[in-house]
Amino acid sequence: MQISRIHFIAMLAALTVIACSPASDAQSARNTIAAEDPWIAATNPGAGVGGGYVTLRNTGATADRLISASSSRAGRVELHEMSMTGGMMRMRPVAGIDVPAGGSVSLAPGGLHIMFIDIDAQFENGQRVPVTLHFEHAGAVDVVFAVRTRPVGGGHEH
Amino acid sequence: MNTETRRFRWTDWPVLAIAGLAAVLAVLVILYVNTAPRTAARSERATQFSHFAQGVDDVALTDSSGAQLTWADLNGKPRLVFFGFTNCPEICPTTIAEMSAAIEAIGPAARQIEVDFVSVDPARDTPDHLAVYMESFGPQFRGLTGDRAQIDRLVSAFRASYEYVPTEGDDYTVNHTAITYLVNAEGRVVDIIGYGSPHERTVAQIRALVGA
Repeated sequence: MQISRIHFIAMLAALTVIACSPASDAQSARNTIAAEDPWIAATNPGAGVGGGYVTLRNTGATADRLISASSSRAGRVELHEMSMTGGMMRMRPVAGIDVPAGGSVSLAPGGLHIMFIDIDAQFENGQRVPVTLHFEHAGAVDVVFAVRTRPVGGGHEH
Repeated sequence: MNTETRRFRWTDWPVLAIAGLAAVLAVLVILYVNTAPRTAARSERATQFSHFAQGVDDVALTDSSGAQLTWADLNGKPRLVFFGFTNCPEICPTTIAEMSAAIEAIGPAARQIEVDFVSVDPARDTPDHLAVYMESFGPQFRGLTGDRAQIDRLVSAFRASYEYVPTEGDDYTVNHTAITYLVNAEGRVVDIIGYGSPHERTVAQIRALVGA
């Protein structure tokens, strides 16, 4: 019951995204990736890097893979995965992020994220950052990321 | 009526006495459970870190105002110590924001506290750069940088670690310990806060550090 409702909502969301997308017919025909809640954490002044988060939903029947990203606001964009082991924060670049057919993958604080390197200016709350996500099958997908203040207190928002 | 009242009187006193004893016992048990182990745990926790940050009094650093100082110069005020770098996308800004929020939540009692952000990427984190980075959090927040050798002595004295990880081109990022150390005015590590620890717990730990 719940799963089918979520699927229904996801399908509606995907349809809305496709319907509202100004992309050409050829592009929208294969636009099987929906980007949900894309956001970038506001950065401190002087910080050269920023982290971006999004849930990628694959509405297609073929497994897809996010292979790279680019943005006019950053000199370079990489895909990274963060992990915590014994109080040590580790970061590693990943070659790609799989988005299973009919499934989704979450890029969220504490794990996978889009790393914006050499940013042109501070990412400030309320800004909108244009990003192009490149997928193995879906190709280039333009997504606007909203800059938000990072929640503090282990999920306890202030 | 009379016999009934008398029966109640006879049974009332032992019942009252037992209830009274039980109440006293319950209060004692609650007091013991609530306070004794907690204070014991706190002092046990403090001694657990007593070997941290030893032998580093002469470690020479430069703060974000450009002033040269030694680690011992920082004594005199309780402080929070964190190792990080400004090109850190998540852990460092989150930790600084969390400490700032906790200090704000405590209010005037936490005004004396200082936050020391020690860079493990001194090649990129110059004093000027750290000043820009820390500025928005207020004068309680201080960036510290210096020679790698000096910073390394500090890092190992805190039983922390870091390593450089190459990324695209000749760039790199830094893996590092994501722990906030609570240091008292005498320079002793009395407690630690792990990354992602609940806000209320962080507030309580910092409150205990400043004695509020």
